[in-house]
Amino acid sequence: MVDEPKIVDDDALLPPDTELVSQAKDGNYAAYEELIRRYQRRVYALIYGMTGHNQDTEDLVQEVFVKTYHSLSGFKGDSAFFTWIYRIAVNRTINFLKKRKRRASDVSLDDADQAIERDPTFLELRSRESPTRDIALEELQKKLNAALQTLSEKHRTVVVLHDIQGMPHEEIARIMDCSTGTVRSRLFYARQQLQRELSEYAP
Amino acid sequence: MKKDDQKSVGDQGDFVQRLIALKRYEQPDPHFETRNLAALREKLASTAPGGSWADRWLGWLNIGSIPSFRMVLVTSLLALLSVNFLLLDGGSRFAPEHAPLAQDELPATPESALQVASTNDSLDLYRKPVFVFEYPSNRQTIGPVQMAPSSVPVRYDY
Repeated sequence: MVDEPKIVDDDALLPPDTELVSQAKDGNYAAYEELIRRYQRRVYALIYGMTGHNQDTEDLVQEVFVKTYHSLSGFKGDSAFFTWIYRIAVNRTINFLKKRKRRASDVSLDDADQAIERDPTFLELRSRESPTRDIALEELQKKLNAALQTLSEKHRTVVVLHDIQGMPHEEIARIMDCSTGTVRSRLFYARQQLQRELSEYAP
Repeated sequence: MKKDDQKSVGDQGDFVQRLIALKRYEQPDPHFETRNLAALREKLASTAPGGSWADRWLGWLNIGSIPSFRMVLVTSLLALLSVNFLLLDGGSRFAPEHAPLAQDELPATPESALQVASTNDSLDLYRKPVFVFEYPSNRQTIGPVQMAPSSVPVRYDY
């Protein structure tokens, strides 16, 4: 199973999001910058999973943080700051993808961390390959990305949030403003399609 | 056999999930964070959070960034404008062109005055300007000649 990333930092020395948001609303840019530091990689990972294009992702990450900053006065704190910024990122990216149809196959992938070489799934794949054809990491990356791009924007979002970011159904439902039943249903159909697309890697 | 098939399908689904999860190892280049912070600092540091009143207004419109909220707002606004337009234009649009006037809607004028204006009882009498020729005989009535609202008196007093 996927290790679920912790949403809230354990470090008790760091001020909570609510305090930073409050300071940022009062015009303290340093507080907002701390929020950016805290979430930029997660927001990047989310958008990157959806677009499969690193330059588009960087542009969108900036747009999201600019948008969030300008909308801070409208943030009432009914949900966690994390949920709110993710919701903005998802909506922004879905809108972007709808306009970007032309470049569905145009990908620009990030390098995979060396740690993938020790991942049990990757080791399993490697052990199944014939000695003459070692599994190419780059090729695998491209195929995973291409498979994800066959999904609709909403199905892809659910897969990215659940299977890549390890987020629970309830949190995804809050971010996507739908029921947990819808999240489960989208996940089910998305996995069925991915299974067809990635059948060559199936055990 | 069926159970085995189901298990196999379940295993494959689980494997697909683990396969997709490998994407979490894909990371942006090491300078991404610094680059992103610098770019945002340049864009944002000079403006206050919430920005101008227009930004605040847009922020309010985009509560929770739920597009449906905006949709409802815009739809309501359009509906309101449409109703307004229909009401403004409604008089001529919905009233029948030659609807007979109810008896109590007719101006209480002496029969002689009505004859002076026109013998036409239709509603057009009240829409188009009517030129009423004032002859001395017309002015023999007591008081001013009563005419339909849009009548234009034309005198021949040379």
